[in-house]
Amino acid sequence: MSLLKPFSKTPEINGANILLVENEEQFQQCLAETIVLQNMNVNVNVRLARSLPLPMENEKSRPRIDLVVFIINLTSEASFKSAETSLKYLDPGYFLGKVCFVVTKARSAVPPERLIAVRKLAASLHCPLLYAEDQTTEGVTTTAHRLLAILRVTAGLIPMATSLYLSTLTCYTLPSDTDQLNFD
Amino acid sequence: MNSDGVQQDNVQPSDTQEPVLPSGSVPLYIGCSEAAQAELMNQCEDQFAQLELLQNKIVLEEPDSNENPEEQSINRLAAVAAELKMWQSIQPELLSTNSEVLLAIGTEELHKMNSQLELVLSCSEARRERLTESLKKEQAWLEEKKDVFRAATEQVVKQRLENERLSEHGVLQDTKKKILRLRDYQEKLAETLSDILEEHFPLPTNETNVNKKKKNIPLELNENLLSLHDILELLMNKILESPHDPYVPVDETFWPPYTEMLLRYGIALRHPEDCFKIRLENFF
Amino acid sequence: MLSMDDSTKFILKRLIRRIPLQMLQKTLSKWTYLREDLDSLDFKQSKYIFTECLLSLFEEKGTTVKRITELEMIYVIENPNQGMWHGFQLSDAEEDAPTVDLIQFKEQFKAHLIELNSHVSIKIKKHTDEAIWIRIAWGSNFTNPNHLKPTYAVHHLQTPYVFVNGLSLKHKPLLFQALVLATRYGSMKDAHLSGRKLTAIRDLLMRQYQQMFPTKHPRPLQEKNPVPTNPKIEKEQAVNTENRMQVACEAFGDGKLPELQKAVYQLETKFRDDSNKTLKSREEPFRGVVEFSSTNLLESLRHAVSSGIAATPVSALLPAITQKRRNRFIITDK
Repeated sequence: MSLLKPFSKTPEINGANILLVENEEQFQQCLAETIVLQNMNVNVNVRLARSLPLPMENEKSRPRIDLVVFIINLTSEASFKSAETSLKYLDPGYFLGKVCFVVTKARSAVPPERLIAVRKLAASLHCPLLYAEDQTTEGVTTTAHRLLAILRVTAGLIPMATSLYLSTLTCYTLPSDTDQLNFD
Repeated sequence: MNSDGVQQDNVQPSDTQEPVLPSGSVPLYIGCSEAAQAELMNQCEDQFAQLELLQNKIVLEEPDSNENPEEQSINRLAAVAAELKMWQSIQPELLSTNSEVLLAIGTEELHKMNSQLELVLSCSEARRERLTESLKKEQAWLEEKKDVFRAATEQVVKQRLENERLSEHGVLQDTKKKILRLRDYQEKLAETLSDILEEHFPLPTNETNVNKKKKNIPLELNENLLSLHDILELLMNKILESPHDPYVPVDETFWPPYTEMLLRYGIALRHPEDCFKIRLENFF
Repeated sequence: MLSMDDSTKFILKRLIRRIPLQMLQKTLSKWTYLREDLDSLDFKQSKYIFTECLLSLFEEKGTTVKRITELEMIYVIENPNQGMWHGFQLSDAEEDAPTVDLIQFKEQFKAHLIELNSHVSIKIKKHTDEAIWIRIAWGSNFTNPNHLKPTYAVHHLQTPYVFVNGLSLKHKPLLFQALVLATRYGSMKDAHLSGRKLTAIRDLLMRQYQQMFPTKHPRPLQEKNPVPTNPKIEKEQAVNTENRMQVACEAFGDGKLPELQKAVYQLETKFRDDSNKTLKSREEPFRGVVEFSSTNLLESLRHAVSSGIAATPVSALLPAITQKRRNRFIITDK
């Protein structure tokens, strides 16, 4: 089992790397293009993957990954399951603020249990959970901005801010109403 | 993961930011003198060397990877505690001792902040405008609502008066008055009737009989004869008390002429099968 | 005195209603019967008024049902992608089968069909693409040929394929027999291929689309469709993606695929669970039907495979649609 580790490589000067993991490869492509197009005075590289573990042969060329984003399409059970299994191939060090969940298609009629499962997953791993609108360009751009904001911190580009510090503020906590729902 | 490793994890990112920061703002440094630039570069290189040192240390640390969620939470706690300790112990230090560099950084930061504050300003101005507009709308709405409230209060007062007039109590009072009036009227009628009866229909006495009839007619006047007044009262009471059987038996206390008169003028009726019973005519 | 009866008028009205307004002019101009009168028609009117004008014109000309069926054929040949088309295959060709020409076929077919059922109205027309279009309105001893529900059959001479639309079970043996005799073949059977688009069915059955045969040597895909990618974006599992594309292309080909609407797989098997004795001891096979449907099924399947939604390797049953040229399968135990 090859774990992806947060500190196994030296960081690049003035650079940040984000890894988008999505089982369906639909949203990740356009999200990646949008992220790259954003005007940043930092060199942002995007890596795309369907699932973890990442192939061994890329080990050498792969830079240090500063943020791992799991994109979950709520309309597909496979999408959630794939993300869940991929999590096992991530070094625990990543869960100290370098993992983020993005949920798409939450607007469409989706089974509430799945959304609750995703929320529980994000809460148990102390990761932020973002809801993304993938149908409009504005939605994609907004998501890109939000991810870049997190990435800047996790890549250590913001003085006096660390990913762990940020994640204690942004990590998802289950709201009491979901708890209530579970008790019912 | 041992606490040493955790601490290093957290020290590390705060170190990375330092070599990155100067190069992130390259355009402004062009204005600096060559000496300043060289000094800065040196500083960066020093930092980077330190970073590589730390990096090597991290790689050498072998954290156990198989961890359950609970341990992860404990881990996290330890990491946060370590970071807290680090922030508490850290000494704030100058980014650079070169005043030229500091000036450039300061200028850049101020420019950045200026542009951000401008954004905030325009944003809040737009917001204020929106709020003013909605305030105006709300005020107009409030006025309208007040008018409505006033009208409604008036209406309520009017309704209350109306209600009092039509209330049960009022109706009761009216009815009582009517009853009293009727009772008065009835009493008056009864008095008048008894007056008339007393005056015009006295009980027969022996004197009058002697005067009218000859002595040879045997007269046996019953001492217990009823006056017309009494007869009528009897009849009336009977018909009111037992409407199903309004007949009164005619006995010797009834003076026959009076009985005859009552029958003749249709005030009383004889029982169709028993001629010794009479009743009052149905007047109602 | 020339005049049209009510049923003729009704057939005409129905036909005009079927043809969209923007296609009316084109369709009518192809009709030689109306050539001289075409200028007198105003195509800018509303469809209702236009139909009324057309009706009075036909009334004047004393148009017969036969003429109207000509117009219908023109329209159907131009717009064949309507209704459900079924593919059939002729087999056991006789020696003289390749020599049958249009005139011979026409005569033979008409003669054989009328012999079987004298109350039919047949119209045969050769289209530019070598296809023979046959329109049959069926009648019986008691009824006139029903022109409202005609059967269309399309046959390409010197090929063993026939495509049929609107055929009822009752008339199936009659048409089959007439076709078999006219084409000098021994028998005719269902090709288990059907769809809304005649062109797609024809292309698939006669292998007239760009195909890619399964090869063991993977071809570099980048050469064929270079996707411009940003150097800042890197796919970790690009090899996998390429493999999936490769698999998809091997399974379904990489060109434009014929548009099929559905594929049906019927499984007939013995119940194999030992715990359930009642079902296991049953004589009747256990039946299950899986139906895939889409506006363009083959494209959808290929996309599902190439995008990784469907698991690879692809089940041999899916590529069988293009390989065996059918979209209805019955899978039974050996």
